[in-house]
Amino acid sequence: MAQTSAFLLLCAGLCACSIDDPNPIPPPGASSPVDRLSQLGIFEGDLGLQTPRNDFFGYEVNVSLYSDGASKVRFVHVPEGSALHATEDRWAVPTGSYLVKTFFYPRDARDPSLGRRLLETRFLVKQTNGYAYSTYVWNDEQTDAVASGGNLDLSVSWIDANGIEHDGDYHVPGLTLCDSCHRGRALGLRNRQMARGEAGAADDQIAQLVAAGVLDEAPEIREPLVDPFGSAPLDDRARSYLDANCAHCHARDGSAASTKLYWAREATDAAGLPRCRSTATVDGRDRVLVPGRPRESEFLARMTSSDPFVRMPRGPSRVPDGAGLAVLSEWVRAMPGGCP
Amino acid sequence: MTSARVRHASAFALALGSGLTAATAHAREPDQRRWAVGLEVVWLGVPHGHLGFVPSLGTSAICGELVGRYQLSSFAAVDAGFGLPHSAMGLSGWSAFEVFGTAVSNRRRTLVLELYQQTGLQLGYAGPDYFARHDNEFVGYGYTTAGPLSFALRFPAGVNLRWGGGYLDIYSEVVPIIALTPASEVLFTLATGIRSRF
Repeated sequence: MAQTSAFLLLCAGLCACSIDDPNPIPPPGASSPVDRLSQLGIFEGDLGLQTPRNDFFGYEVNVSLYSDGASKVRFVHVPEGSALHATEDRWAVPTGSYLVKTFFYPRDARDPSLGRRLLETRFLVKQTNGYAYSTYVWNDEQTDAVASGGNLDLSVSWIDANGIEHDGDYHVPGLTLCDSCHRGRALGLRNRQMARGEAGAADDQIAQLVAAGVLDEAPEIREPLVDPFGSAPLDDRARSYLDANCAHCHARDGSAASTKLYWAREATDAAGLPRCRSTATVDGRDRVLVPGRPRESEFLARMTSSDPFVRMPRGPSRVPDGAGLAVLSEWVRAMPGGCP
Repeated sequence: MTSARVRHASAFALALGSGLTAATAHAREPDQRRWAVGLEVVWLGVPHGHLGFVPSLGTSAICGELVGRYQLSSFAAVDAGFGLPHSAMGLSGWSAFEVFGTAVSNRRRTLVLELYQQTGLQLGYAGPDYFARHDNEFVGYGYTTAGPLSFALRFPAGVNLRWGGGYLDIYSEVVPIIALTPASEVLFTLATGIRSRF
């Protein structure tokens, strides 16, 4: 009898603990959370077109974090009377700001007229004690999105720019994972990511943000990240990729600080690289980076590991980033040396 | 010589157990010490699990749990545990009925080798490894103590050595776990534990 009671007590205790519940947010300036994206009122007209109202400002980053090939559109809103402030690199975000990011796949990247499949719209809402994380998952009709706790799969089918068909699931990560990378920070709002376009020209994103009153003043820009798949020198492209995809955790203030592997651009110059450093063995590789030998470099093995606990970037991605891997492999191959 | 060894082991047992427990135990014959509590180390899990200490990547983590036992008779006992019963499962509790038999013992029964088999129920969280196994996803360690529940049957079988003057059990067992929820699957692990009897 006592045994049965104890077992039932255990059942009751365990069942009471949930995770990744939806975290609906209120519209800007309001206090009551709403369950549907349409109720937030931040997009005008057809929601699927993602046309923001005039106090939400669209922006782009130089290097987007790889998310199983999904594309993203981004918007920022700051409360009236306040503005973003650029520090040496990471930007300060005033309380009440909304950072919005919608993930999507083009139906066929070769033909934009075929439209896109919207997947989820994520929110970071700045509060006095950090960020509130939320996501709204789009319905099949693409007419609206509903607040979700994440950790669910959406069946997707799309064709990339090379004409390759992709069929599978897009994974919406659980909200509990948000803070493991963000840790109270916005990852994209950094000088090196936001400095786009030619300074002083019409496409100068920083100048646009200042003109719109979203950013208080233009910062001094040093070494913006470059397109990893563009025409910049290989070293710049590889280090930009690592900065955008790895350094949010692999930094002194990141969740992977204990590894003492730092992948921010300034940490991956010739002097800072973890050449030949011993590490836990992954698929037979026990050195983080072996110059000249990408196939012996553990950090590259992690990008293709079949073990989700080992695979990098850690998170919801299932499909290795082949293009990123190619750039990094080429970068390692070009390094002289080897390991003793 | 034997007496000195027994005294030494008794002192070790006293150090492990609480003063009250040991004092009570002194007054009982080895077979009358029906209760036991201890710690169990769970290792070499199949499939590989990631909860606990990972000795090297690609190997299963080493985890553990608290265990307890009450001896009902000369051949039966009930066991319970709480912790990580497998490095690929979340926080769980279990209870089992055990039958055991003596393989060999000394005359005073302070040194006894027993074989046993348990049949039990386990309830806990499926754990983040469940999603890694089934969906190829890392969902975060938060799922160790939350998320979908796993209801399972367990059938450990092993060998127990009663020693230390009859105050201690050290055992090793193979643990097949048949999970019924959230998906049907079979997991195995080895477990080694030490218990203080009182």
